[in-house]
Amino acid sequence: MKIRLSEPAKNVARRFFRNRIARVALAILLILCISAIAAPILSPHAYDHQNLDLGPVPPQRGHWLGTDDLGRDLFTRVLYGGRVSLAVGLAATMVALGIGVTYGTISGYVGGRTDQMMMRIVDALYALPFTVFVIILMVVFGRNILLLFVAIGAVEWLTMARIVRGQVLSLKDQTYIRAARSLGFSHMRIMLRHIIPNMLGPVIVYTTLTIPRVILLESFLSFLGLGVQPPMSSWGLLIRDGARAMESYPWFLIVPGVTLCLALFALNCVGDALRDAMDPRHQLKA
Amino acid sequence: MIRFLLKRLLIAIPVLWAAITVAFILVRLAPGGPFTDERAYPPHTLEQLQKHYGLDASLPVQYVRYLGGLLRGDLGPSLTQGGRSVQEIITIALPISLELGAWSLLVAIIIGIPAGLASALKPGSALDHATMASALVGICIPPFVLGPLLVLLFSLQLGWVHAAGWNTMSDRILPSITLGIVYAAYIARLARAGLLEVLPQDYIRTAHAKGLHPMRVIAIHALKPGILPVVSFMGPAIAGLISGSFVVETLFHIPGLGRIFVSAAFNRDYTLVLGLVAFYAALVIACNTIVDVLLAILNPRIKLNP
Repeated sequence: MKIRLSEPAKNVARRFFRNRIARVALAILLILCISAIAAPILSPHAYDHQNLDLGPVPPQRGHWLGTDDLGRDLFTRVLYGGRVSLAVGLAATMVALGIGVTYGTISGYVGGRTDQMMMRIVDALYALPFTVFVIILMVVFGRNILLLFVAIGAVEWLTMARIVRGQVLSLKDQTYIRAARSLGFSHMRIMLRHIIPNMLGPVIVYTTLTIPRVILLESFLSFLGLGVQPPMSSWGLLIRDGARAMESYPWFLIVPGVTLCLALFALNCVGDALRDAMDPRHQLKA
Repeated sequence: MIRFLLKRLLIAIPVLWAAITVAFILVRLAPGGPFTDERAYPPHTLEQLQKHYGLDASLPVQYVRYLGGLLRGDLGPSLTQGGRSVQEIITIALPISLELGAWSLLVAIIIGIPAGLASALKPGSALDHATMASALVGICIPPFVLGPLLVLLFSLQLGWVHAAGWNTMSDRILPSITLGIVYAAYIARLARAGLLEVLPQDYIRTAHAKGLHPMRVIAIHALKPGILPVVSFMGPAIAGLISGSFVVETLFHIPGLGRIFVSAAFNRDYTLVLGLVAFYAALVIACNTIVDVLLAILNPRIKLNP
């Protein structure tokens, strides 16, 4: 099968791959993703296998990132942690993206009373401090990963909706939208063909900010002890354990910390490069 | 303006009510209670406690009672903090959290705006690349990684500041940086993006053409619309600072609202959790209103319709 890209998409791809940082970031991201997926093949250890006789050891043969205080192989735990963190990031962002763009476009485009009502609902949800609900949700339904997806996705769409609405508000008074309206195009067509494509830039930029944000949130929750539970692993959980033991065993903190930062960095770079590739004006200026 | 504020207040009431109601339902769905300790109370004592705090009544009755108290400005007694009232706890802890938030925001703005401006003025320059790379690094290092690393370096290794606590002025430094640096990075990016939208516009060229000083063009003509994205970001940023305070206050053992909230939720201190939900909700609503007013002041094309 041959994938056929439209001419603008080809241009975007070409401009994207011309960017050296983008290529590096994409490579880091691919390595992280592949190693997370292939974790059972890459590591001879089990993520929850304890070796109390060994205890915490620094990087060495057989455990080339060292082990934690229960003698669990840190490399294995980072790989498995990546599985959880990346999966949460991807799934929850898609949830947030879908809800946010639909909601924000409708709200901004329809305007008036509907817009007011819809934004009040967003405000109301904003006003519910998210962590409260996650804490309570985790307590009520037990701390499971599926719930984590839903809780994070349900929170992150709010900002997306606001940004999209703001964009629509500023776009809809522009002359070409007025022209489209005066030509008698249907609202659906104006929204789908004229408004959404023109705010794709900000939406993509914000999506790239959302994936790392979601990964951050998961880590934040795990760090507070509310997300992924041991003996399962996640980057946030490893950092939590690492911060507790950093005085004696700094590599506990540094290894998962660096991995998390690297992942966030790669995601952000890919997003930025994508933005530059999509908006040639940026490139010309840059 | 006054009409706008009054309308906002009117809208805030159902929002607050909804927030409290949802929180009430969720808190009460949670298994266990404030008195399920490692050591179980004797049944008689437990009964007395329940009765004392009115927890023996049916849930709807408790709900109505709680709302009634709230209307009179009474948040009730905390269930786990030795009989202190929720108001008392908030009054003591709030200034600490506000101070932390203010310092963090200051760090964010003082670093973020000039960085974004410098970057946008010479897009593509070495300075731009350096600034945006730093911003990227800032966004990529979360507080719970940065905090322990800063402690490791500046207090455990160098011994310049305390690892935790909130007593001397120097105790403010690490927590504020830990909490604020992410927002500095976001603000720098948003300010740069906003300014890059504005700078190529015709009226900026006009301003330059009529011979205004370049500094004046930037400070007066470009900055105002250019920082609109930053101002809109302030709403979510305040909410983010609140959840950030959960981590930072726990990490640095700061006796602020964030730490109290986390422990209250873990301990099922119903009244304290609900009181704090109500408080945080009111705070976020107030901040969003201020942001909207600011946006309208900065951009006359935006009308204040609540």
